[in-house]
Amino acid sequence: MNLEIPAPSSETVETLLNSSPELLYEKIALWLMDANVRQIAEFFDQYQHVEPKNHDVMGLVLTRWTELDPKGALASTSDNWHDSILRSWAANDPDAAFAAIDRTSSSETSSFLFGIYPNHSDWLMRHLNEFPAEQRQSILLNMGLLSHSDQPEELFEFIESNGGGFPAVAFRDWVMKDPWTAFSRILADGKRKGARGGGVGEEDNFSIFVDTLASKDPELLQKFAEQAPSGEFKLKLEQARFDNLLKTDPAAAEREAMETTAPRIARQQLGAVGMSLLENEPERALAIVSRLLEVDPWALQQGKPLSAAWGKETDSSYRLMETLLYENPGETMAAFAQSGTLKLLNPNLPSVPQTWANSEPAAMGDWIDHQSDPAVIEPLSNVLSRSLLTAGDFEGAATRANYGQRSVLPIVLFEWSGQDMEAAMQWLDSSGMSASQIEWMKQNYIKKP
Amino acid sequence: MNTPQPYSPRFAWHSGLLIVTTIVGWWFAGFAPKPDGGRDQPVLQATRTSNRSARPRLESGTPAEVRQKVKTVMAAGSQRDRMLAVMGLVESMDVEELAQWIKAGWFETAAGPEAVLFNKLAALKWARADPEGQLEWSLSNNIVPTGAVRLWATRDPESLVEFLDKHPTNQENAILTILAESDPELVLNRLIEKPSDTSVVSNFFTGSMYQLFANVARLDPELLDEYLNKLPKSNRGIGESISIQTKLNQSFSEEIARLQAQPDGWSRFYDALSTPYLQTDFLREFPSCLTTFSKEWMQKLAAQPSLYIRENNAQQWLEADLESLNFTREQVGDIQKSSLQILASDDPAAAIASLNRLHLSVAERAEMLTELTSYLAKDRNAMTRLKAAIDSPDDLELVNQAIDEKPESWESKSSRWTQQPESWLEAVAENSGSNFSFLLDNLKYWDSTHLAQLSSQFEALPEEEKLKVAEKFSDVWKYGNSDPAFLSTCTAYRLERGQDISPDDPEMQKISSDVSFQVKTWGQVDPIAASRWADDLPECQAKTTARKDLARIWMTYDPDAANQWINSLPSEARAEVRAALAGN
Repeated sequence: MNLEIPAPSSETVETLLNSSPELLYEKIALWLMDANVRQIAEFFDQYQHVEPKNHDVMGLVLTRWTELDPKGALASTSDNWHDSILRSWAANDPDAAFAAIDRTSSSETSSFLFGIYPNHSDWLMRHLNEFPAEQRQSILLNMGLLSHSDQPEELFEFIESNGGGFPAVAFRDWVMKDPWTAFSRILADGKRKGARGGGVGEEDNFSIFVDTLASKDPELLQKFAEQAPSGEFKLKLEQARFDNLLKTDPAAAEREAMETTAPRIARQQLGAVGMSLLENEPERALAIVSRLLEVDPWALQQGKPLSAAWGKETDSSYRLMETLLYENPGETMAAFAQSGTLKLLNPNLPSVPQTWANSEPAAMGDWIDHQSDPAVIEPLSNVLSRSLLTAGDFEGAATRANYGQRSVLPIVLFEWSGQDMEAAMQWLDSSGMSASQIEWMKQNYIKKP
Repeated sequence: MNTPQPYSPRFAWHSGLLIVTTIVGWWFAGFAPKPDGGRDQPVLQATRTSNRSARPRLESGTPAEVRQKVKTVMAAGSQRDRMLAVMGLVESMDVEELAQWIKAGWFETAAGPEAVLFNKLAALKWARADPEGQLEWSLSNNIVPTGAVRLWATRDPESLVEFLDKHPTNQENAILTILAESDPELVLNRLIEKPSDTSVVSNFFTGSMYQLFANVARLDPELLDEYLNKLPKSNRGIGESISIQTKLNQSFSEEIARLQAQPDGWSRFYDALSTPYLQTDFLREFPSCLTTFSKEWMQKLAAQPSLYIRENNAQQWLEADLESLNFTREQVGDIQKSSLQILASDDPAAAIASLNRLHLSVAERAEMLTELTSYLAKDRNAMTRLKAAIDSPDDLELVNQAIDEKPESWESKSSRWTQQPESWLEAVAENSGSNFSFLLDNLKYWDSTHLAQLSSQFEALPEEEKLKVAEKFSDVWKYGNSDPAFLSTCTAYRLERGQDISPDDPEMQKISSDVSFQVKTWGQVDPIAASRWADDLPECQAKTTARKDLARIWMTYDPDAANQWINSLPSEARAEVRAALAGN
């Protein structure tokens, strides 16, 4: 293959400094190839004061300058840039940079190492013993987070056997290079996590394996899922396989999900299918929820996230049920009522009936009128009644409240009679309650003028 | 160099690597012959088997022609030639092709400058032709393509905001930070319209909020002031801190006078200097402007040296004539001590030279040197340089004495324990509860050999010692998320030791509850190991309950494997578990 090498740049330091910021990166890249050290120093000297500056441009300039004259670059720039220069130098020429740094300076050593980690793990494996013993574990940890190798198994073994914890990056490289041996390693090790708490490097070997395969060769997921031992790893592989099936053959995925009877798998699969239908086929998504509740009536409780912390993955079945409950409360609650689990709504999603009552009181009232289970009717009637009361519809609130043992009718009558005693009395008289009940209500809950 | 500078060169370099380290050398996949020495004997039994004779590689790896192109570029000669070849390669491809290369991570070696250049140039070309498509893809991969966002932000800022409306992302703050470089007003209006919830996002994004306001203030400080009161509460504090920092940089004395005139001026000043993002230029002026401060503020300053002493002004603080101001002798000592420590972290020789210039009594000097030594003791390199900078034998003796007296730090203990399971067990037995999480963290660093040693050394401990370790470890393990295998050894040992205790005894109830908790937790992730563990427990009620708990959990996600295990149980146990599953 022949690549056409671009013609040399005709830019000067001055024209570059006056360039439109959006074109500068490309222009600089070409110009740097033929610029001499003096010109690069001149550009750098002036551009470093430009605000806002494009740091990709600064990085490119320093990389080239360091390649041509690392010592000159260090001598001509302020301390603030030495970190970048040392990294770049270490990446270009580890031996020369190592010889040049002041190894008693922690900042210089650190800059050097951060140039080495991603680029020269082989060099670092050979020279680790030249660093003080108390620094080695931290170096190994950073290798685990940053170092690549074309022999990732060797790098993995080196880091781990020297006490550097689970090397996440080397493991990812290993999975890409040869998933079969990486798989065997997982079976031997069980679950391993990065040694650093939180964030980068905290990924575990199960997730790295599954995510890498899912993005690079999802067809292999099934093979590995079949061979994985029962447990979390197999579940992750199965779920990734299923998610891929949902992308490539949604009908087959839906069939499989509808046939699943193990509750936890059903939540995973039906949740994923339902979410995929939500936007364009909400009715079918609702049918999915019905099936989910049939297999796992406690799904709402089981799928509820333990913590609402940022970044926490939410169970897709829970998200599906939650979305439908807010968007189509009547039919979704009917599905819950049918499975006998409407009572789970209050401890898990208490604001669903409230939201519905505020937005569509008539529809909610109509829905309640079609229910027959007192355990469903009473709490929902009370929610609706309170909502109508807040909206100033006293008669509606009283009519809805007139049900069951824990009725909110006393509150409604008290508020109503404060506004319009006559109307409240009239309603009571025609409410159909027994005379003694009416009298008792009048005595206790009607506000006297 | 320690001054926080989110857009420092270090940050810039790192952001250059971000893409590179995220998508790594995929073309390594699937083409080399398979090495023979793989671990083909899984330790755990697979519940299903399949024919593994044919082992396909990751077939959808990099196409051959792509590998050939990368190879040609990387073989072009010097780094200059390779970089020119990269430019030629980008030039030769159309936008669709470039997008495909970026998405698949095809030009990724071990994070060399060629890969950085390729990806940046390709991203810019893609962004010019299809900014929406590029940003959408990048965000879905948790990447913020700074160059592309900047391009869009300068060309059509309104449509970038519309994009954010259509594509909610947790990277919104990072995008607005770039937009603030060119259109601060649009960004401030966006924050008012759609407040950024800094209470739930990580520090990384909150950090970005500081940079966002710094970008606004750099372009238009008056605009920031104008909008401060309109900003949502969650952002106002950050905005005000940046506004104060900016004014301190513009005119230190004027801003101090303004703040001193306000009833809550000190707390606002304090907040502005305590941010993770700090524009530090004004700090250089600080020591020479002390006469600007009221008596009350001087006292507050004296109590908080760490607030304003930084690398870029530590030397000035040591040279300032503090005694002629309203500081007490003790306060002067505190400020000088902090300054020396900060100076010594970077340059021990300069710190010693400054110490020699201070007018101190022999006792004061000795105290100062001893504290400086303690402060630096954890950094061996700094200690070497400190000693090298000392001329006087008396001073050297003082430093050596201070090192000897310094109690062993947690850091050095931890590194020893990391390598020695025996010391780790001793530490657990002796531990009174504090720093236990530190000990649990150690387990994460160990490979299977170390963990096996840990279990065998636990078995070899004297009985009382063993019980002590088992109880302490079981008490705190659930907070440490550590090795379930070692915990199971501890819990089983406690159950074994407690065989003579009545099931109604609170101690036994606690053990039973731990057994149950362990099997339920373990059963969710590794039911095979949990089942072996439950099967090996001594015969008792806790064992029966553990088997029932495990069966219930396992049946929810892998009934075939669970049934296989249940069928392998002795008949009586099998009947009990089946009855429990049937709800009896």
